[in-house]
Amino acid sequence: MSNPTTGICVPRTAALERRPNSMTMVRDLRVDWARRRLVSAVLRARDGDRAAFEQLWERHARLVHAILLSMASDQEAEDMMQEVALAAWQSLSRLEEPERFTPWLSAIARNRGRDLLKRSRRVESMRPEHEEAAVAPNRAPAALEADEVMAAIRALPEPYREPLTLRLVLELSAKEISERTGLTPGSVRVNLCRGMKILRAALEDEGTGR
Amino acid sequence: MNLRNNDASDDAYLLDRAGPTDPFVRRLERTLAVKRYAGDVGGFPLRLLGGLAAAAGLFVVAAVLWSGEEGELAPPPAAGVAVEAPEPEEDQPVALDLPARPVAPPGVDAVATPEVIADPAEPPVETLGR
Repeated sequence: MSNPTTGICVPRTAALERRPNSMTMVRDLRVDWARRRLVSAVLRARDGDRAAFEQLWERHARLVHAILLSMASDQEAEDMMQEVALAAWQSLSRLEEPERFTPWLSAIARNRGRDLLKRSRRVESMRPEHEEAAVAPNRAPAALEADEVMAAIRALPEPYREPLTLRLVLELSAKEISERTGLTPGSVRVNLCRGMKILRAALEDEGTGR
Repeated sequence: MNLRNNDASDDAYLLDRAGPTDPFVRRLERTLAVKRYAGDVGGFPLRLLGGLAAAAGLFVVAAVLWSGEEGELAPPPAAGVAVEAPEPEEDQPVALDLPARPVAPPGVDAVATPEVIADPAEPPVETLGR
């Protein structure tokens, strides 16, 4: 079987399953290489290397943005990106475990985002009643847009917002969310499951109640 | 968006992208794909940091220049010539001789001064577990 984009012959899944050890080994090597590269960049950035910090930021900007998006609007999230980048740059010297840079940066985004929202006194505008007030009346369910879905996610209890945003915006799996946020896999699974149920009910009510 | 009539199991959306996922979740993924960050992922923090460094450098240069700039001394008056100090005009306040504030270079946010940098807010790593 040939990949239409690369032209490289790719074995089918059944063939892959017959050789789980070699595939697992290759995957582990890739993961290990990526981890080594990350740690190397963190160590260099910690010593003041801006280029290394730029590399790290490029790899994590989407994650940071998604975390901020789970608590703020698009514009606010973009504005807060700079603050998060600065906070990370300034406190990087105090990061003791370079291999945990990603969950560390996630925590910075989470906490800094909360602080900025409080400081700017825009928390009230993030509440669902304000967002619902902005939705045009008599809107058909088919016209449900990304803003409305995000508003519904932000209206969920706080523990569900971030995992759901990472799952739906970045299409991360529960395991990937756990690795990136530092939350335990069990917490992510539970929060995804419960949050998705509430979100589904909320969107169904919204879609059929009009 | 029709959000009904799905028979997915409770944990269908926990599967990876390659797995069979709830159609409801698939629709949400497609809807929210536009929310992915597509900004200048690499440029702005460094530009900001560079701008701050440039502003700080300019501040230092301006301070050094100002401290060393005493102006040329006027030639001494000739012998026998009376020197009168100019009197300020009436109805005009005497201006204070204050140095001009250093001006930030073009493109640098004037708010982003070194004083702002010196207020780091570091979230504790211990909050990871929430």
